[in-house]
Amino acid sequence: MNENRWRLPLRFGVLGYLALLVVLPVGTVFYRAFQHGLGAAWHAFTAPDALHALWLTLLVAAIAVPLNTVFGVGVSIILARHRFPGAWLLDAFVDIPLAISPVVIGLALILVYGHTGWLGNWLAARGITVIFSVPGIVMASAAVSLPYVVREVLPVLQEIGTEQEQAARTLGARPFTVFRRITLPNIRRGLAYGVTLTTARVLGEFGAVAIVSGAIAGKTQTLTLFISNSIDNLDPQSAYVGAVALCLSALIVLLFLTMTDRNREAWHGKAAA
Amino acid sequence: MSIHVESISKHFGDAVALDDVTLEVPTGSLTALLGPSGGGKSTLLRIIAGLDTADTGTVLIEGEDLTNTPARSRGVGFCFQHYAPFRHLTVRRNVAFGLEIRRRPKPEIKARVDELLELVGLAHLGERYPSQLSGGQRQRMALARALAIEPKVLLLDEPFGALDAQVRTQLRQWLRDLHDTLHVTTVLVTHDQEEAMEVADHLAIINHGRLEQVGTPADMYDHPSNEFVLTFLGPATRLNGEWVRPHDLAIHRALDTPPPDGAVAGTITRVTHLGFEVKVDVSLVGGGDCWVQLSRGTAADLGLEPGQRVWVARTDSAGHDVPGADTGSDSDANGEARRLPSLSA
Repeated sequence: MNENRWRLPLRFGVLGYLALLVVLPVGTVFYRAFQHGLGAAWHAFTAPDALHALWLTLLVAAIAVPLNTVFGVGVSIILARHRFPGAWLLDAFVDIPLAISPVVIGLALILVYGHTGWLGNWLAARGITVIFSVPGIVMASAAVSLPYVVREVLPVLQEIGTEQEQAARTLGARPFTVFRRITLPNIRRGLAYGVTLTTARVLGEFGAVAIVSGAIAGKTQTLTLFISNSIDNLDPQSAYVGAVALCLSALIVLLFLTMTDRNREAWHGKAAA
Repeated sequence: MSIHVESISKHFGDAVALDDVTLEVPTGSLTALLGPSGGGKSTLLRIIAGLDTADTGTVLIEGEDLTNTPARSRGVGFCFQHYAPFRHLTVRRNVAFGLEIRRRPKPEIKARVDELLELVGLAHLGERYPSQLSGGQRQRMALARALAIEPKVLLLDEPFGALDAQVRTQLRQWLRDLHDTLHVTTVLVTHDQEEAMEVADHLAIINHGRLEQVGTPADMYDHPSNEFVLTFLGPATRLNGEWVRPHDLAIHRALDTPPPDGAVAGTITRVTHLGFEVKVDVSLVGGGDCWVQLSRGTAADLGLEPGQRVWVARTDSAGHDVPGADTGSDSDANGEARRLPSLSA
């Protein structure tokens, strides 16, 4: 009885919090984007700079997310399955991007890969520009979203243990077969969630990208930079439309991953009941 | 000899897991590696399977030196204490795993899996997931999965260790029957001497990384090569400074005269009824205690009660010649034991 007394206030409290922080502001952005009709929104969306920003954002995600997925799974396997001195150091290093400000990461990248940086200098001599260019944006995005896959996959690997993999080995499976047929299906859920977080972070990253890209409209401007730039230029319509495009791309990724994950639910025993 | 391990040693850091172990497992036998937890028996099994590597020594299976061969190419079936089911695959796909990665034709896989599921009594559960099975069913699935690749030897690491007592007893009998049908050379690791003696036709006792003794269960029970084997394989007590099995002792009421040869006088301190068996603790006159295992009928006929003065004497003349038993030291005894009886092929 006593517990029931708290149920309603708790529910409303949580929903109210969510509404105030997320639903209301995001809803308002959507409303503002279409305030002057679909035509106006479409016009702002199809402006060359807006389209380019969307394209660049998706391109960066298409490169950075797979990179971090492979890296994240690799690091997780190394940390979970191998014993070596300095493992704790690697473990700690992975978290650095979470601990320090993205702006600092951007700045650090410039110091190394900028045309005055020691590696940037070497690359520039070979005609490769990193900073104020797409490679720099990809690197900044990858750097800030580095830990997500590891932090989702590593605990799962530790929890499932090594016996299934050993059993597969005694049954004749080569290392890659063990990974593909045993390890991967077991970590699939954690991996899907890690990839979702990585994607969301890459799509939404502002600070690190702002520093390394130079935010050149139509060249190195991602959606977040485009939104910020539009506000500065007193062009709110473009800013709202950009924001909607950003939300929708994140939503599509989320839906896609949720759907691929649903097919795999049975073996967790949920279908058993 | 199906399995021959020669001079295997293994260290984990400073800890010695296996110390110069040499063992032969006869073809078609069911051999139990028996010993206390942490004695090294699981490590030996994993080295045979290729899941661990020995520091020194060689592993031969069917005469072939497989010391440096990876686990996947050794042709061994391995079952884990916690079954290691592939959680994302159905029972059927679990069993088919070894055949699928060998790219056998589909109809052949289906036929073989059907046959194996029938053999382990899971034919009706093929489409279930491991999470929907009981512990005993999971272990039988794991066994079918291991047998699917037609292994040269079958290695079972504490296969019944995680099961409750009743299921464990059933599965033991079932495994014994299965072995009598298939005759696959099988090595079973267990810390339960009763299980080992019930299931296995050969025992190898391992303690502190050393092989203490190998032989048949009956032979080792009656002729243990040292104190450790004697006390590990069954109940043991001391009379006149000699080890003896409590069921080889008899109690004579003090009223009986004259006392039998070699009898020791004492006072009953406790009588415990354990179903069919009655355990009688006796405080001996010369100092020390012993206990005697009697059947319920015998105990009732004698009318034993605490405080009674009795004679305790051996019923058999054989006894146990245990090297080093009087000194109580086991390092010498162990060194001796390892050179004592080896398996007769």
